[in-house]
Amino acid sequence: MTEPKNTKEHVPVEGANKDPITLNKPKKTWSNPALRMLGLPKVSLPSRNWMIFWTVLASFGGAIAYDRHEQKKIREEYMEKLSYLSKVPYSSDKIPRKISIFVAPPPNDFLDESLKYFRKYVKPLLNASAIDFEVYTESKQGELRNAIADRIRELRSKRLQEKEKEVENKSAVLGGSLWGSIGDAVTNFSSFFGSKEKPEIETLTPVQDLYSPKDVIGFYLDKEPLAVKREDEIDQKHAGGVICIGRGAFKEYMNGVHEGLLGPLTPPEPTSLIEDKSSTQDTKTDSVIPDGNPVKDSSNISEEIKSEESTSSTDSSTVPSDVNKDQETIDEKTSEEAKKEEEDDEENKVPKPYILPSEYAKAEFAPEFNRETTICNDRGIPVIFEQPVYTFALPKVSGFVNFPKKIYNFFTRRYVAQEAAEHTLAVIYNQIRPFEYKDKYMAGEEEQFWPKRWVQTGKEKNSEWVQELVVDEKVTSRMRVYDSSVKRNTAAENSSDTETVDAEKNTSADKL
Amino acid sequence: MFGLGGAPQISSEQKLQAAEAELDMVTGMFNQLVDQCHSKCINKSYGDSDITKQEALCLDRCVAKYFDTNVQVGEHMQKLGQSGQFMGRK
Repeated sequence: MTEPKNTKEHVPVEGANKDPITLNKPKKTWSNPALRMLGLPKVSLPSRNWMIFWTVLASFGGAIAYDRHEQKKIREEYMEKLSYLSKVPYSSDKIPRKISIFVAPPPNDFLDESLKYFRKYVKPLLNASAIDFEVYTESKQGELRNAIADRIRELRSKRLQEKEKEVENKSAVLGGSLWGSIGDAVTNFSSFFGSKEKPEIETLTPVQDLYSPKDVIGFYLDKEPLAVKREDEIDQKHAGGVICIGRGAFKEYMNGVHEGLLGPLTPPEPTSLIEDKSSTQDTKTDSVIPDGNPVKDSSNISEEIKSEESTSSTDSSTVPSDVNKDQETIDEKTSEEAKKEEEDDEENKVPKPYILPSEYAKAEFAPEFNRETTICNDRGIPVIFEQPVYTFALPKVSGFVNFPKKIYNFFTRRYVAQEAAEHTLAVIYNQIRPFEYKDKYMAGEEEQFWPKRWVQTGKEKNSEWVQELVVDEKVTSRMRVYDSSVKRNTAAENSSDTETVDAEKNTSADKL
Repeated sequence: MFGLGGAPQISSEQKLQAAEAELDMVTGMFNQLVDQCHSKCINKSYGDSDITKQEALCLDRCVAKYFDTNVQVGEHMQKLGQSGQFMGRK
């Protein structure tokens, strides 16, 4: 019997058009009452374990991403702040100020780590402010000290030679004039008669002596070549600058300056043939990876090639020592190789200091230099110790107990970036003050985090870095330091004398 | 020209040729250098006719690197030439 169809309202009958599978499915509902309360859509969350996993991952990842984002922001903020310095119109007769940067590897670690610090936090700001710089690196303890001391000694010996020449000339003028003039007359006489008989012998002269490219290019036909001056020459008070990355680099710098200025010009006699490794540490500070400094790379490559070709060892470079260490680890020492290694070790060892820190007080300040004025090198640029110095402490933390601190540092690198940026600004804006005794402990807080075992072995071997830094008044009275607490004169960054005078006035007021 | 000594005789023509070759090399290098460093260093949105300090520094570094590269590549070429590898490959 058919029931009359109700045509007015079409009530959907449950199960009429659906198959059994969809019928038996439970309705989707909130698994979590909290989500229901929040009014979020009926999404089902993953299981408890997955939730834990994703939470932990997201929080760590988020923290790292946030930190890096903040670092980038800081970097870009400071770069923008400094960009006005690079947009100054510049004529071709000037060259920008040049900063010297000394980078040493952290204890028990590779050079790359210090270079990373430099590249991340300091270099972008220097480039944004259009300041030129040159990076000097080392792989063994003492290389920087030796290089700096060598340079200063070179300058001193040059000055000495000049002085001696002057003295000679004076004495020639005074005493030997009579004989000198007779001698000259004789030679002139002979050449006067002999010139016609001289045969024209063809000699090969190198092209460089005949003309230089400048004469040929045609650009200089009507124009005079420019006399290019470095800004450092023009403005000597704010000339140059020295940045040390790491407390070790600072110690080496100070020791190098003292050694160069207070030490003798000739090396002292070797006291004994003790095969001491006091100038090297047998940790990772030795083994390297040729550093990323372009200047050094070229010498490394050429010397690498030389060492391949020749059987005898080359003179000091970092790469042959690297090669030697590889040989050591392979443990295939034949007598030949052992001999070669000894030779290499001797030649690659950093020369010992010409004067020990204990002798600084008795030594005399370099007599070749004129102490009244700023000591300049041949090109009229103040020598390196006349330039202000600043040291950046490396944020590396060593030791098992310091592990939490290490983790904290990993997540808060933006603070390091901020601090480093502030101090780099001090360097760029020339916030200078005279060297004080407390500055010998600049970046000293880094030392408390040096690895203890390394420090111990260093003390036993008498290495340079673990010794206390000895500074001498004679040298440090001339030195200056960058300090971010000195008042900054941003309006006139391109110096006037009043700027540093203001800075000095402010510091003295602070002291009172 | 009045060669009385034992020095190898280089005629004036050869000297001229050598000088010309040198000139070509130098001007070629100069032009290349200017082109390269200009394309790398100078901002193409010519808002200002003066060269800024950053561009000047960049040009400085560009020239230094160019000559460094030149010298290093030259050294390598010399070594290849000496060891005979270069010709051997050909």
